[in-house]
Amino acid sequence: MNQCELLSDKIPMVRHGTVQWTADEAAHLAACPDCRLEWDLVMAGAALGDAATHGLDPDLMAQAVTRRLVADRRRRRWIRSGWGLGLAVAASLLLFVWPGREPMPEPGPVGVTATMELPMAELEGLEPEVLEEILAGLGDGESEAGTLEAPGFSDLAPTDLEQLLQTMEG
Amino acid sequence: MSEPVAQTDLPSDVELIRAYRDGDERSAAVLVRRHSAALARFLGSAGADRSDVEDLVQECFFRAFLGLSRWRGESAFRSWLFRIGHNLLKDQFRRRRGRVVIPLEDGDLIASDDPGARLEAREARGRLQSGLGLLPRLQREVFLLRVQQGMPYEEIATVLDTTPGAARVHYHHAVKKLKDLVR
Repeated sequence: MNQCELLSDKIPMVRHGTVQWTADEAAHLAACPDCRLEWDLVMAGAALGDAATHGLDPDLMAQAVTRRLVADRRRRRWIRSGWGLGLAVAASLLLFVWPGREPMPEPGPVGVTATMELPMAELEGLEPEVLEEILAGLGDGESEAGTLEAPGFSDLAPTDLEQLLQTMEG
Repeated sequence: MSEPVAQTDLPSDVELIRAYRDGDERSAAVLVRRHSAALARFLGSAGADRSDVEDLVQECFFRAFLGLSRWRGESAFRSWLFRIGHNLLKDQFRRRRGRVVIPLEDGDLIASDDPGARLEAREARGRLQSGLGLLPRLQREVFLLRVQQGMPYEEIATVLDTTPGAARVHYHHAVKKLKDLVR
């Protein structure tokens, strides 16, 4: 790195007072037109934008920023509390409206359930016509069963009754 | 009569941020007073519309304080602030489709009793401002952060989300181009 490059990196720092020139560097700056041009450039660049600060009042800016921050903090707090209130209302409504858990269905007779769940593989393998016949048969049976009444003792003939009594008495 | 407060007695940025986090709004105001002028100078000379500078400064501080939870303290608060400013400028730059206008105003001129020197300074400043407008955005911002704020390359890299080596290269490119323009 030559002397010009060294100075180039150092010029802004010297301008801001964070470092100082050594005697050699100061002598180089005085003799080198390119480094002097760069020095002037940095000086001019450092002063750029001053006009942007003329209308700026740091106190007013501080007030404006803190006002916005306070307003934002209030808004957030309000939103948070609004959410909390909303959730509380929703929960109360839910408790009020909800009928509770559905009652569990009464367990049916184990035998019936087991029968209903039994696979009827032999029926599944049958032809539709055969199934129709079975259904027709079932229907007949049902109708017969529905019309038949269980026989009572009064329906038996006296001789049949005598036989029954003998059987029961041994 | 009380003694004037020495510079070293002023609370640091980190102390003020801690106080703000603990609910002290006045600490935020101190930070704004401390950094607003430097931020306005940077935004104004980097290409922000002059009429927008105050709003941008306010927005930078507002976002900086709102986002403090993401600020881990590894970098200076100033870097954090300028990083936000850089991002706002980038957005404005995109909205204007890359057009940068850096106006020359009398307020930017060096006060001098010699009219010849003032004219020369004005011309040089005019060429510099035109030249800044021609630089790529990153080169312009690196140049301004270095010459206006005296930031080391490491801090510039943090602000502009690049590496210190890249920041140094951007700076030297910018200086070379500007020298060619004002020569």
